[in-house]
Amino acid sequence: MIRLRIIQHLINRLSITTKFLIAFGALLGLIIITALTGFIALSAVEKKADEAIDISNEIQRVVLEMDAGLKNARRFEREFFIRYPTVGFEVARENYANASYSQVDEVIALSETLKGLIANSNVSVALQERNVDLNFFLSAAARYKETFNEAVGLAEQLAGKDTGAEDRLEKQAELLLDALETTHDPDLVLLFREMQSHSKDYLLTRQRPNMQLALNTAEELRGAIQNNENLSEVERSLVVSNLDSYLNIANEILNLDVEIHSRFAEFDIQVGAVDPIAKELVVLASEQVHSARDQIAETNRSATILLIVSLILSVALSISVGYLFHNDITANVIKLTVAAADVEADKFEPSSLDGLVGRKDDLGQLARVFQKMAREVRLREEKLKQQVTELKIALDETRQKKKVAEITDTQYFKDLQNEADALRNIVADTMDKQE
Amino acid sequence: MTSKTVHSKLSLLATMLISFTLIIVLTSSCAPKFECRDAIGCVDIAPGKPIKVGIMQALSGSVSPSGTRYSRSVEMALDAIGGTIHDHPVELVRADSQCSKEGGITAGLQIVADPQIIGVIGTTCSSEARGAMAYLSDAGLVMISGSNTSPSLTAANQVKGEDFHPGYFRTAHNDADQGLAAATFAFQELGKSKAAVIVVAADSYSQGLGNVFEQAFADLSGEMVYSGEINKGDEDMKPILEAIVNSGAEFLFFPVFQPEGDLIVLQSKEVSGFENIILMSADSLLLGSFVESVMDAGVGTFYIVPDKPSSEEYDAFVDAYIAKYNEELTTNFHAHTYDAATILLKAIEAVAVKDSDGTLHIGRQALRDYLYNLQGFEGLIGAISCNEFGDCGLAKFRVVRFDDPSVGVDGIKSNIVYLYSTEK
Repeated sequence: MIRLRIIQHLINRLSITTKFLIAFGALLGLIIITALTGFIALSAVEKKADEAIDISNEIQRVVLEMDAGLKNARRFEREFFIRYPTVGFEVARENYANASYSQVDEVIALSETLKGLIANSNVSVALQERNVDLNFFLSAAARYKETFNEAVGLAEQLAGKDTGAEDRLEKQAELLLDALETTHDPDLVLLFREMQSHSKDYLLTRQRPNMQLALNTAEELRGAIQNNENLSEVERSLVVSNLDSYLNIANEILNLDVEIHSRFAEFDIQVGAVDPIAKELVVLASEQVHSARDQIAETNRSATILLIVSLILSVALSISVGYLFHNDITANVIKLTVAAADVEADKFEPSSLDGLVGRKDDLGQLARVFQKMAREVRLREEKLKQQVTELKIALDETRQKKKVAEITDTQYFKDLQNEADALRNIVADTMDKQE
Repeated sequence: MTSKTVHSKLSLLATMLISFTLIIVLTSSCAPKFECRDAIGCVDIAPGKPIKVGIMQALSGSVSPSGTRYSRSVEMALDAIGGTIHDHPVELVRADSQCSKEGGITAGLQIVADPQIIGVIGTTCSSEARGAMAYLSDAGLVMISGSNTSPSLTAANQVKGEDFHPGYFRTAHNDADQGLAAATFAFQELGKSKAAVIVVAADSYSQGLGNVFEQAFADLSGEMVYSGEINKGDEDMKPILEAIVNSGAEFLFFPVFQPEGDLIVLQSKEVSGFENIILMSADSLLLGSFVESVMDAGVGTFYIVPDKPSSEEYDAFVDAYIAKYNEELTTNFHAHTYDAATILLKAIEAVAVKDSDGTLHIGRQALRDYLYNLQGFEGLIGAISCNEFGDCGLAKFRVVRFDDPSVGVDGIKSNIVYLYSTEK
């Protein structure tokens, strides 16, 4: 209350011009603030939204490209292994293996870009925390290239024209058969055919037990060769040597297949580990876009609320200013007007302006002057009235005297007066006589 | 209040604020800041941030029951220290290494992708470690396994294995000892002089143990008459079993996994001549699921397994495990894995340096040095000491005979026919 009084007091001290200046200045300021707030908020929203959506779209694009790149690399890898037996190893390497390598190189470059994009932008925490996954994605892609390169090398060792183990096994089988045919022992050739049949089964099915059957038959063949009495030591040694070479190549093929199988298994495990990451990154980038849109909506809501609040404040301030004006100026001007009317109607009470005359402002001064003037006017008026009354009385006396004089100065009055005197004398004489 | 008084009070407040800021800045700049001088770098853990420890186990595939139990053993070890080290929570980061070299490579890449991971408890199978360790070692990490036994990962006869990498440790035994124990049993106890071996192609554990057995058997003057390989996934074992019969072998050692081991035992009953050949496998096969799979076909087969710890602490661990996870412990290396985890957690605690601002610094080489110098650590499996190759396990084995499938795997493991230890 005291504060309000102080404020009231301070306000009272201000000149009307200052009050008008402050009030309209505040209104103008509020309007400017409201306009600026709206403008800044909307600009910020627009900028942030554009930025977030751009980055999110870019992240999504890069992730999708990475994913597609890895899929392409795997497609070329499969093409390589399917095609090289028909188109030749070199052609397959040129057309498919090299294409796969370049796809992986692109994926690696994209991974680096993505890392930079996430590190240098204001993306979601969930996306930032994917840095570990990106590291893995990057190293898995590099490892994929390395593994594929190893697989290509192993495939070359296995199936390279002339130098590959499969070609060498075929040639060695021919040499062994030639050596066995020189023995003219059909049982040995029969055992060779059986062994060869199991080997071919293996090459078709890649099932190790088939090659094991071939190896078992080979041992049987070895025993038969050792026991063949028609062979000289030199011939026996030559045939066994050919058989050993055959078995060595067969074992080499088994080992190469195990190694190649190992690389394929690694591809599958890598895909199993990397695929979910790519999918999650796409989902996160998509969420980032949604989040950016939510952010826009949120900021729009905030800006709207801010504008509504500013509007309400403006209205409240306008009402307050109006109220202040009314209380402070208009109501007092009305008081003065009423006072003036009262003065005119001659019913003015100077005390009616007591609340106003205490003010230090222009209205106070006006009220004070008005009250003083009104009082002076009243005094003068009363004096004048008295003077008029006095004058009127004097005038009436003069008029009466004049009328009396007019009457008394006449001959008739004088005669009457003389007669009255005469009568009075008679009456007095009469009374004296009676006594 | 006069404007002069307000002004003087504001000036005093500003002076106090500036002085306070200066004191903070000066004291913080004067406090000794940690400077990493570790040869292979430090892991810095900000206040409130977790200490990350990897768990690399076979969490899928046929070996996953073991991998899952070993992971739980790590959780038990973490529970035992209250889940924190120097007020930092310990976070376990899991990677499935699928009991294969390829799985190990991928899991290794996953682990090193996070530079905050300090060490790893794993792997389940030696092959996984063979694939992963090159990456982990290059990244400065340590890995302690409770179940890898391949000699190639550490050393055999004081010669570094081909897959040796700095930072690799294990609380499990070295198969250089287990192979020797198996060969000694076959040659000396059973009196068999002709032996055959079947191993899994490209499997570090299987080949490592098989090779040691071959060498040890030959060193004992036995004759290795056959050495063959099978592939993971092979279903027809008869060809290789026939080859063994043809070789004249009296004894077959086959350190393989399920399901190939089950098929060898089952199909051996269908191969003529195998009734006279004694079969022996190892801890990799003697699991509950194997017993259920082979049932009576397994009667008469032998298994060499690590000796079961016998202490109150071990019994308490088993009881706590069963209470927490509501499952029996039928695996061989749960206590070894618990010890591996405890050693790593204690090592981290020992080498960690806490900075004035609460940041924890862990020197990677310091951690390795601590582990290489570990002596007489009292674990569930006994007193653990590590050598320069990372072998910290105890060479104590038991050979058990499968007489009755109805007694289950624990009953079979209790049917001890031979004990072997390198301890004097």
